[in-house]
Amino acid sequence: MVVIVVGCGRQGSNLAVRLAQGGHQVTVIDEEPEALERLPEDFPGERVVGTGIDMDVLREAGIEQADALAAMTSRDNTNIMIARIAEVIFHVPRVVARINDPLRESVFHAFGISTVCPITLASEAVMKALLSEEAH
Amino acid sequence: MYVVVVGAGKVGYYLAKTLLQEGHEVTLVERNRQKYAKLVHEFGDNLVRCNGSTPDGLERAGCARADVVVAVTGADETNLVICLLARQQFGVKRTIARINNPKNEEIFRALDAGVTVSSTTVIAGLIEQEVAARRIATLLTFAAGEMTILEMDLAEDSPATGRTVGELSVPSGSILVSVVRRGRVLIPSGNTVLEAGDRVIALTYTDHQAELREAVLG
Repeated sequence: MVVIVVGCGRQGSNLAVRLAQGGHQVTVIDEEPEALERLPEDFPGERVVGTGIDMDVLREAGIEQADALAAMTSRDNTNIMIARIAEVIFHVPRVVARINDPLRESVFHAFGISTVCPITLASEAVMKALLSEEAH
Repeated sequence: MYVVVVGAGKVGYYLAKTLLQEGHEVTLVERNRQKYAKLVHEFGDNLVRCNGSTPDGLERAGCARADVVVAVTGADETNLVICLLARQQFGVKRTIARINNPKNEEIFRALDAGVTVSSTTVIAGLIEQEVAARRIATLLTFAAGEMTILEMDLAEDSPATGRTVGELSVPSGSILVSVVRRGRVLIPSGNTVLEAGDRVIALTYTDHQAELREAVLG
């Protein structure tokens, strides 16, 4: 799959590396060149410096050929905007956005954007571990 | 009119004040506690503390019955979300967003997010007009910036001077609407000969105004 990841923080870079290891063709976009340095030296994908809400930057990153896009920045409204641009303007088949604040899920749902909320996932996983029957 | 203004920074603050003075009903929305505390004395019930870029926040601001929603927070992406929510979730017909990056105008248009105002674009346009020897002025833009009415003053050496309106190669998408000559307004026909000193008023697609200017003023 040709995938674009917008946002190269800890979450975005982790995702990008996994996707690349899975054999997908990955391009990572981040405004800060330093953020892109989180990616390992031998990262096989492409890196683009720029903002994910700029259509020229997205084109440079190959959005017109992309099968999928993940909006992984630290700002919810930015992720919404990226997702809408990807879906409505560029017709990317699969778009997922990260939600940083679980309380704003309603906003993403209002636009029909597929979401993942790291905070919710982490809480669920920790709760499961805390409340599990097995003694350690 | 009932106007919801989201974002109580300088633009939102002065806009809300002005609208209230003009007798409109206004709700000013601000999420920041400190800003809210500073302004609540002045605005009272017209100020609501909530996040205007969420459905809940817009609900609290009474967005459903708003005639216009204005998004003037400091971030273009937040203003986009506000306008999309207002239009798509609340059926608000008119939204206006302030945008900092002129490139976002294209995105707002493609996402059907309503009217945008970019002070960068406005000021840059004014600077350009000044530089173009002051012979052209924009009178009005409408249809969300798609159409412009402008006036051009013909000089001795303008390409249009001495020619009939019919002869001019005015780009398609532009019309010469009237000519002001020595204080009198004429509606030109194809045979009207244009003279130096004429002020020509034209209607054009905003995108074609450079071509029009070339054809008329050179």
